[in-house]
Amino acid sequence: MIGHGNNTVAGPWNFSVSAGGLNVMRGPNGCGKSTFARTLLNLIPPLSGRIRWNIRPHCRWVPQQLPLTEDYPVSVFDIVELGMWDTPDSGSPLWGLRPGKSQDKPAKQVVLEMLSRVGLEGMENRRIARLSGGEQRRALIARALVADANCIVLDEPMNGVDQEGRESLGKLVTDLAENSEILFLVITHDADWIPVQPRCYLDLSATGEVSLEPSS
Amino acid sequence: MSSLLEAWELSTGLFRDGFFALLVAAFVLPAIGTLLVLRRMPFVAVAVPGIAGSGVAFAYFIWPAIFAMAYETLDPPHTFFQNLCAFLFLALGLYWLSSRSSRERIESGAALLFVISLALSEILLLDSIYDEFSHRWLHHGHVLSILEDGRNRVIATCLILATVSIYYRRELWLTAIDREQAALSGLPERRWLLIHLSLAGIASGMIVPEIGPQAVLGLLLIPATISFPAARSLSGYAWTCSMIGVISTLLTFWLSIVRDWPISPALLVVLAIVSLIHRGIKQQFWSSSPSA
Repeated sequence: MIGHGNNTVAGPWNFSVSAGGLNVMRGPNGCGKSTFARTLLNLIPPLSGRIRWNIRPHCRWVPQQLPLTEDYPVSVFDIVELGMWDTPDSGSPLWGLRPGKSQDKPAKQVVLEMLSRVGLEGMENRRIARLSGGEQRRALIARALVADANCIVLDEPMNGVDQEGRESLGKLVTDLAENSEILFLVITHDADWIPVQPRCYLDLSATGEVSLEPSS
Repeated sequence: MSSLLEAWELSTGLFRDGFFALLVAAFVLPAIGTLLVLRRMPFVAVAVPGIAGSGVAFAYFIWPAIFAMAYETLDPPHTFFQNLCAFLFLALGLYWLSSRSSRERIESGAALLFVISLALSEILLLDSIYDEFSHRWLHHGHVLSILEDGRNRVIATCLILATVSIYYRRELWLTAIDREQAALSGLPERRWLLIHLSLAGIASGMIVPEIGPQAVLGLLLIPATISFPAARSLSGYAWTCSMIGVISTLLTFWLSIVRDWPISPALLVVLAIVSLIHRGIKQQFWSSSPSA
């Protein structure tokens, strides 16, 4: 069961997905998709039950939008570079005080390579909050990729993206998902933009029930 | 030109210790202020020096009562005792602030603490046995009469703060701008909030007794707030604010010597003017640059 505080948003659910490839969770607005994403990423605790991983999860997420106003002095380079630094919970009292870098190469090289991979070459010095919706989403995908994660959750990636941007962003997401071992979980109310058949669809109904539809 | 030379000679001669103490503080404190503004906690930058100031006022109030027998003169309290009282007040204030549940509640709590500490400082000073000069000293600091040990204390504190801030800059930035990403990166929000508040607390506790709460407040808040929309990257923002602090300090010493203005209020005005000029130039440059 998932929700906030005493408010149950959806559930109970019982389903499993296998690692790797593109998985899509679809459902109408307000049915609990984003709450599910936050619960999956351990940003909020489940109200009951638990999420069991057969791999050691190292998740990143691409939110609908960053909590930054337009005048925030944060460049595209800053956002992607900050994604490189993380530390697993070691249980030590000093945990979190010296995060390690997820890549061995110099940070600048890794960031510039990743920006080029997501089609943001030459935009590293632009302010993140002044980019278009599609460009911001690409920068956030680059941030997730530099972390060397094995699970990337994209929350409504097409929100605020124009038609032209939808096509190229959809192609980028599916290309990345098909050519890597990373589990991509795309959460969307409208899956028409996905140009390929995903590995599976998780359908959420307005009443919060879930059904799993593996692709053939 | 001659007034500039005269100001420079006095700053590096007679007032050398105060000049260098303020210069180093002016380089480090604005960078720490940027972290508070990025966290959307500018009022903490106002409250922390105010709390430290009320701790120092408490030191002025209690010192004669405790040490009246040992000291026959009415010298101000020993600096170590001022630091101790400032830290005691800061520890209580920051602990209370960090226990509040959201940034908005921390900000409203900081505003409350600032008002209370301001009132407390006034009452404690009025009720103390020190004269008007000491009261002014407390509010404005005593930059021009800082001695070598005071200068060393300020510089050592700034060096420690700068080292910690540079070493942990990514963690401090990430927890300030994107808490969810920070949580996914294994950076506990509460721990980094405490580290963050401690940096501002240590800066204020050690530096306020020397250069005064007004100057510390100005250095923490003014460049970081005014330059906020004029920077494009996190490191650029911090460096810019530090440079504004240094340039403003040089101008303040010149004005203070030529016009006989008190250092702290002059520094606040100069910081605001230099920050606004920098912001205006940057925004003018950006409006003509398509890549901005």
